[in-house]
Amino acid sequence: MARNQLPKALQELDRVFATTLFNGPKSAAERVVRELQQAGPSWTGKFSNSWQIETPTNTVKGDGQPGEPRPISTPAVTGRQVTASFLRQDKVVFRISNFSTYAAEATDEVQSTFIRPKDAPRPQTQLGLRKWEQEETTRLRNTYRGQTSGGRPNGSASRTAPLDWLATYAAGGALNRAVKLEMDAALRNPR
Amino acid sequence: MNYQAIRAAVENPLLSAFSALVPAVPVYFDNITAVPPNTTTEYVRVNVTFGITNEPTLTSSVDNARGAIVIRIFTEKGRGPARNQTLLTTAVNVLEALNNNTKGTTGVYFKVGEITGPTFSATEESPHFVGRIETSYVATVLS
Repeated sequence: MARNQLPKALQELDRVFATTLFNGPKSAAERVVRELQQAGPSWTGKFSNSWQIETPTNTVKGDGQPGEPRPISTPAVTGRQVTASFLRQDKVVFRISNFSTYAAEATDEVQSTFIRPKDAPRPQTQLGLRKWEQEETTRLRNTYRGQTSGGRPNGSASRTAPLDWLATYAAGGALNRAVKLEMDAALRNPR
Repeated sequence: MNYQAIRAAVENPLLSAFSALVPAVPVYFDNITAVPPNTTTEYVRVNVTFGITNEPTLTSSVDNARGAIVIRIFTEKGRGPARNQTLLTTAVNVLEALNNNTKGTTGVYFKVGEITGPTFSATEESPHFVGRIETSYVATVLS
């Protein structure tokens, strides 16, 4: 290789390195968030717009506002930035989390008392309306979000995602499939 | 696909283990709401969910179900974590023992993944201290 071609080759290598090592997982993480938004509960929409992706270089957050789920997108990075991240952290880590104040209730982690808001008696999003499951009983007093039965008759307990939806998503193969598919695509087509 | 057989593969050993304790600890499975709402009585709740039912391969479609097992242990609040952790240990032992089964030619071959937790919670209104573990599973229906 001629000497004056080396910088260009390094640039190209940098671009390919970033694409294969970072942008595959980046696409996967964005896709996982989209799938989590669809799988999780949606009443006002605040929870599904409160996902965040922590990348090796920054954190990208949803806006936390009501409405239909809006995708979040992480910026592309250079290979040098990825390399620096590798050196600092052993591996590229994409952490996906939810910053909603009631994330623990929404993900069935803790019990709570659920009262339907007077100004939002039914799901405010099309997604929530599509997934709305209603019971003809009340809720038990302290219960998990997804547990809607067991109370008194003539009630109207409801939910917009089944109990343990997050555990099911994480364990049920969808997460692995998303990561694997995106990684496969990135490794096949480095751009 | 035999969903009942898959459920039984994990529910029966858990039921047996908690029933064998002295005193026996009641276990409630999916769609059973017979839990007294305001009691300090300890109990176990097991939820088995299904994520996917089969996995198409190049040559055939394999009945490989994947899903999650979430186990919640309810013990009396305000008495420390010891009793809850003792019961969690029973549940973890059962889950780990499931991986000792060998693959035969009939029935269900059941394997669990890594067990996450326990996480603990106690809300102000609830009389219970709750310990929670969860794991993934892969169940292959062989016949």
